[in-house]
Amino acid sequence: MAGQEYMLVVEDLESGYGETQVLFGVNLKVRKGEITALLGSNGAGKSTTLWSIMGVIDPWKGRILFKGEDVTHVPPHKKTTMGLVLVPEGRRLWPNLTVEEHLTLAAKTPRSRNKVEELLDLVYSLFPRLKERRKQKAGTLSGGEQQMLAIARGLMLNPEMLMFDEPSLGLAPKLVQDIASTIAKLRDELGLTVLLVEQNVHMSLQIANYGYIMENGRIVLEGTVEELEENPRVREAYLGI
Amino acid sequence: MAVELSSQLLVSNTLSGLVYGLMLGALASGLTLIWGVMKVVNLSHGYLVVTGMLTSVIFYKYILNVSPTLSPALAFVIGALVGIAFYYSSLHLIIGKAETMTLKIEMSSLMSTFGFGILILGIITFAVNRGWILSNEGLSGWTLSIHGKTYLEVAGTHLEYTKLLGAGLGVVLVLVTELFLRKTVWGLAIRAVAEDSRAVALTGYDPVKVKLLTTIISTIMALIAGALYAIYLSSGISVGLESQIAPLSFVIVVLGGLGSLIGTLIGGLIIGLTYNITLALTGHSEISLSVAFAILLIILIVRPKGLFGR
Repeated sequence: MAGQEYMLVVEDLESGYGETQVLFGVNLKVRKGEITALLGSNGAGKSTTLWSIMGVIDPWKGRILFKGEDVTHVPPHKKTTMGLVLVPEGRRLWPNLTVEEHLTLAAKTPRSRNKVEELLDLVYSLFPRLKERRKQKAGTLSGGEQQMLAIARGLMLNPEMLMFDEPSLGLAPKLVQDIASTIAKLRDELGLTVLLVEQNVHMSLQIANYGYIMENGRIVLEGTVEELEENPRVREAYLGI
Repeated sequence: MAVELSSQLLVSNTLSGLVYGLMLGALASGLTLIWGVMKVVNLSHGYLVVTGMLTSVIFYKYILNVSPTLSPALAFVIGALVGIAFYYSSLHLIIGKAETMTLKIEMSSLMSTFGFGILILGIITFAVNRGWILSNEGLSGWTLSIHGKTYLEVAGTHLEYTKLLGAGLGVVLVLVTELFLRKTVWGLAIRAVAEDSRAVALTGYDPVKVKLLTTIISTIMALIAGALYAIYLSSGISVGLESQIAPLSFVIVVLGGLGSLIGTLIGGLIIGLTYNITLALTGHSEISLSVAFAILLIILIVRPKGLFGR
């Protein structure tokens, strides 16, 4: 059954802001236990796709299935407690709350409540730096540490599937590698399903299993990572080869 | 002899000023929550406090004859109901979907909360005109006495038990709310929602629920503080008090630092002490009020964030 194979299915999604349509019938599927990359340049509609999947923007048309269930118009806080978690672009932390307070708020949700110790151990072993800074306010952290905290907050929600929006944005190359290997680790060691939205095609194709290329609010190309890397259009437009 | 007299006056005004200051701090605390934490400039705060005062009076004099010492519990229940009405009538359309509280939202909330204040004023005026309550109310015939005395004597100063009870429970109110904000998950959500409410939704909490809860708690605090102020004053309770409570509350909240409950208590103490001591020295309450505002001006120049502001 398709519902068993795919964690998330997006069918003919149309969406936008006010009168402006941004997405024109997006179709994509995210296989369980894999990293699926959604790639494209700035303004292609990648973030809008994520916000619409999450329900922050209410989709105009189309369907969104999570674990086989129709969640098209479920509000974001409910999707989160169903196990679908978004780590948003620009981290979106609360500057005056401490690291620990960020993690606590996430840990007290119904999915996580009974596994707080376990989740905290996981998060602190992935990001020992956060443990050192747990009493520090988020506003005082460096860019890399803030991205770690945003991911850690997402993990404390005990997700089945994580969606990342431009996790590499504004980070130094060394940190981009760290974030990439962390995301790969989440799949390999925890079996998490990931939808990764990135402009950094190179980094994404290193860790992803399958990819979609988006242009002007439409999916223009899809395939396994190997297929995409072989594709002349991808090589020219996105990998600069 | 004259010097001794005035030093005695100074001692008694310092003591009563301390008690008054703590009471003022409690009166302002609901405002620091809704304004300092959620960025809603609540111009109906003074009227909410008056509603709490009248709750105490009405249930004592006109219905059920409930002892004013129990009125904070009534104020809690009525405050919750008023808070829900307040949120859905005046705030939901403005802040319900807002992700971060911008200056524009802050200014819009100023207008709509002003409107809600006028509504309360209208209802109270209506009740007075109909003769349901008096324009100048009091807890007549009610007092607190221990061993036949209605006051505690400290350094030759008489501190009435009613005032001590009102101010003391006011401090308890502020401390309990502070604990709630620091130690509970809903307290965390309240502090997070003003900074980024979309991130609150992505963390599994309904932002509208958090905003509603903040409004309800702030309203409950205003009404309970009002009920305690009724105990503190015992008489002279009227809607006209709003014109003292509201400006003093705004001064105290800014002085203590927006959003800091402990700061509100300290700010209240400073204003209460200054007010009483200036009054003792000059004999004019207008001068006392001016000095209170002068302190505010100095603080705004030296430390614009307020004493405990972040």
